[in-house]
Amino acid sequence: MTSRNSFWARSLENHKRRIWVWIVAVMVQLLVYVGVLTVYLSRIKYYNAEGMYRNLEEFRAALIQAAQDALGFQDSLFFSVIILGCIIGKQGFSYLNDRRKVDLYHSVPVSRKRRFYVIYVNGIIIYLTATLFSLVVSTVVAAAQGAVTGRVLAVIGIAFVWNLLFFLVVYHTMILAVMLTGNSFVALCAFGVLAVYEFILYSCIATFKYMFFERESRNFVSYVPKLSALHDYSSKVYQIKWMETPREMAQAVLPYLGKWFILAVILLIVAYVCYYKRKSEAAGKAIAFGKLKAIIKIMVVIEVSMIVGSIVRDAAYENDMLMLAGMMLGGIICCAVMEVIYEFDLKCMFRHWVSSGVAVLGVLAVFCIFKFDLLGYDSYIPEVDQVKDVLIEPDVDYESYWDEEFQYISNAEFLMEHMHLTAVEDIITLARKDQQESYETMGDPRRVKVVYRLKSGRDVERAFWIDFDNPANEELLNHIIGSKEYREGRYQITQDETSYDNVQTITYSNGSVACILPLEDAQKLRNAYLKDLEQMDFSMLRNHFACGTLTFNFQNYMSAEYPIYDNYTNMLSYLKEQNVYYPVQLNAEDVASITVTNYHNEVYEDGEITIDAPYNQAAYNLYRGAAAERVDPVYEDVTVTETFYEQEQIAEILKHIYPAYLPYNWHNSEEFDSNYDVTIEFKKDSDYPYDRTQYYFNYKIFAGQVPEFVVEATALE
Amino acid sequence: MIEIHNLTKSFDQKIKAVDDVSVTIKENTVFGLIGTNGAGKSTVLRMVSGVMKPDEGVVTVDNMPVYDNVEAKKLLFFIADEPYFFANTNARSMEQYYSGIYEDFNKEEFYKYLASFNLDKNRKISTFSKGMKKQLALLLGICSHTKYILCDETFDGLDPVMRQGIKSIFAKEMEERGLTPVIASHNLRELEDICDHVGLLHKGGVLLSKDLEDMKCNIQKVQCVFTSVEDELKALNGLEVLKKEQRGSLRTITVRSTREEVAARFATVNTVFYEVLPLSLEEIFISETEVVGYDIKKLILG
Repeated sequence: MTSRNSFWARSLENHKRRIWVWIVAVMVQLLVYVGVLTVYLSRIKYYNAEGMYRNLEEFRAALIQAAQDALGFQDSLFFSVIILGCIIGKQGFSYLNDRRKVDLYHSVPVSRKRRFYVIYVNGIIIYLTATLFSLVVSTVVAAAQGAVTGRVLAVIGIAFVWNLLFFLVVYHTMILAVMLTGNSFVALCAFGVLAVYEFILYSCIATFKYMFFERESRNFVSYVPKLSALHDYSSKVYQIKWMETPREMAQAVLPYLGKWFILAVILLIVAYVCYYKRKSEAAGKAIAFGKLKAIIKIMVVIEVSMIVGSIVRDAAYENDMLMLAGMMLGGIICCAVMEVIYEFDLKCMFRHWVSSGVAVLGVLAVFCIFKFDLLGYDSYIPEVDQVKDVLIEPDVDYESYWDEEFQYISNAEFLMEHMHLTAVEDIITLARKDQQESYETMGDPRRVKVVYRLKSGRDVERAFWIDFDNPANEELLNHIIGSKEYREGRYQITQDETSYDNVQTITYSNGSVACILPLEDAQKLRNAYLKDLEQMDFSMLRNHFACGTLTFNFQNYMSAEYPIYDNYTNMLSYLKEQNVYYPVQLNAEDVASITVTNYHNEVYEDGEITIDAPYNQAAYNLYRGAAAERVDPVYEDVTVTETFYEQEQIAEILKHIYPAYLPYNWHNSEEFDSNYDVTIEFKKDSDYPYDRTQYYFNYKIFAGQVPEFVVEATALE
Repeated sequence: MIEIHNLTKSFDQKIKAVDDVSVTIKENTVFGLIGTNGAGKSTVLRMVSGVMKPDEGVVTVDNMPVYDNVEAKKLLFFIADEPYFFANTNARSMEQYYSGIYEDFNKEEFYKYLASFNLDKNRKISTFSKGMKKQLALLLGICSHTKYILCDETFDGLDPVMRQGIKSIFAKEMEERGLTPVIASHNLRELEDICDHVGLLHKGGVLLSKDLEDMKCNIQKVQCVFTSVEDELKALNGLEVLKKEQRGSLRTITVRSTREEVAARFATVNTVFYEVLPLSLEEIFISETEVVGYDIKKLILG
């Protein structure tokens, strides 16, 4: 027999007060599971009726995938779980916000502990029942369509646990928000602050670092909120959704389940302590704990002012004073709004000026920390003996990387795993030189991203400039770029032997020729290239121009393109053996015409042409990376194009040009004349095996080598 | 017995609602807690009922501290000034809730009382008048069969017939099972005919707390006409005169003494006429509080 005061008796009584929550929970979950499943399955059936599937197996596979998508890691569950977590958490403990309810509940002989336990557990019962009921109904619907397999059930199970843990985090956050406040509106605001504060703070700090710190870089070391389950869910659910097997999904969700569980437990403990410490008279007040008012105000004001500051700075063309003014004004307004919310009285907007003053001073301090780099972030270079090894990525050449299943992986993933440079002292010397020299005085400044892997286990990422023109840097760079560690960390060809057994095509090009090489030579070519690569160092890359490229194409459109230099003897020997080697220098007999375009950049540089204001604005915004509306420039076209057909002229031009297709990023861009573009058209009847799929081939002219007749022919009239 | 020791409660660290209140509420008596709005009556009752935790001091119910103590709260039923009933509920649902909480809740009695007070058990409480809601709250409290029932301004707004009905039930319950009602009101006249003991709160503190009978027995009002000034001086000599009014030769004198002593004293002097009159609760309070320098009319009579 159930005692009158037993848990279940109290639980049942509590459920009577929560009938509308039951209804909402069941409706939402039915809509999300059954509703979405129905839409997905209907779509597949429609596609089938349209003949999109070749056979029954394909159709069934599509149905199964649709069921898995609808009942597993489905997009709208993110929102439904947040909504239910908020509603269930808020409604359960909302009595604390009403003095009349508090009088009733706190005067009856039910212990606080028991009441919390009953309401808390009932919240979970509501979520679980609504979710499981909806899942069972939708699974039965899917099974009736033949769309349920063991794999689908496994994915449903994994997603269910993932969503349950996420629900617990949201639910506990909402309960904590209710405990901290005494009013429904403020409780919702508090939930918003608790849920996204860290995420927004991280974003603000990242934005400020990019705005103020020249050496800020964030490509390799992840800078994500540590405690935000909302961020974890929204950023990972798509990756997990597209995983191949339930095992992979389970492995991917496991770390988050552990993290969320710990987070949920901590939130629950804090919420319970607040519940126990909370006074009954807090009902109706904005904040239940008066001492927290000032702290919350300062925290919110600083974050809001940072958001305002970044918007103002962006809108005011990086004007720091306007940014500071915006931050201060935003901070003051936020202080006033917080006070109005605290007291529910407009007249109280300027109360508690001490905490408002501290908040505004905090805003000023944040600005100064970033503006004057008071924490030494931008000037940070670790000591050599603090660093275990280093990763660098010069902003020069680009590679694409893939995993063993030929799925794309980012350069950050590959380099973080494979590049462990021990030339720490050389890199730190270069980093220190960057701090001693001014970027403007460098002949050929190049940005290099660096990750210092400290012995403490921390990874610190920065970027700095290296002057490629400075001879004093050459030896240091040779030591770094010429190292085996750099090659192995940078080029996937050094790591990934097995991929080359699955090459689909291999091509060689010198900028105009495109030759297909035999697939059976893939490993031979790889080995030849690896041997040649041993010669690579900074001086070689700087002093030699590539004479061709070798391209390996794999599955999933993955490809790797490697430059061939004139000292890569193994590669050149192979190409010559195969009779496919063609020098970069072309023969005039094969060329029908050369078209030279002179852009006359000197006109713009000399300021002879005034570009109108809208164009300036658009150009400026584009330069800043802002999403500017395109404004068509209104300027005089000074481009002069001339085509040369005479053999002598063609022969002369061919001596001074270089294929635009071939990589030359290690060279100073001033080695080419940026005024000119050259386009070559080969003779149709030429024996030269140029790529017949193209009509024209683009070339660059070396600086200072533009033939006089070209200058004259393309001169401004 | 409810013992309140040095109870202090402040709100927002600024407003001292209750300041060092010490009162003892004896069993099987009707205790009236009187005071103006803001005197601290509700705060005291909310602390006695365990809703609020005192900043200082302690409340014990039958020697058990009450705050978050289920055993102590089983002895109490608190009816707030604005009793809360669940949304869209009726009297029967409320009975189900309370009977699930109070083990001795008497359902049969509850429905009997509901009928006698013409309250429909199936009607939504939200459609009840303010007075009906208070009646319902009182009936729920009475039928919970707790030892103590704490009523915050509960009698205000009840019509005289209903009030009399509730008083009768109180009397019956007191007699049958030793119920101890604690009734807070800002209106002295509401409590006049029901309280055995009265505590007067003002600005968070207790001005006085006495048995009504003691007060009535120790304060007498005499109307008389003396034959001479000497007789008047002789009659009043040695008596503690609390108040003296004169209209022509008619004197109305309030003195602190027993009825017998006053009668004996006036019998020894020459008077044209004298009569010892009964005092109303209001008059007793006026006299008692004027002694300690308060104008009770301003405090609780408006």
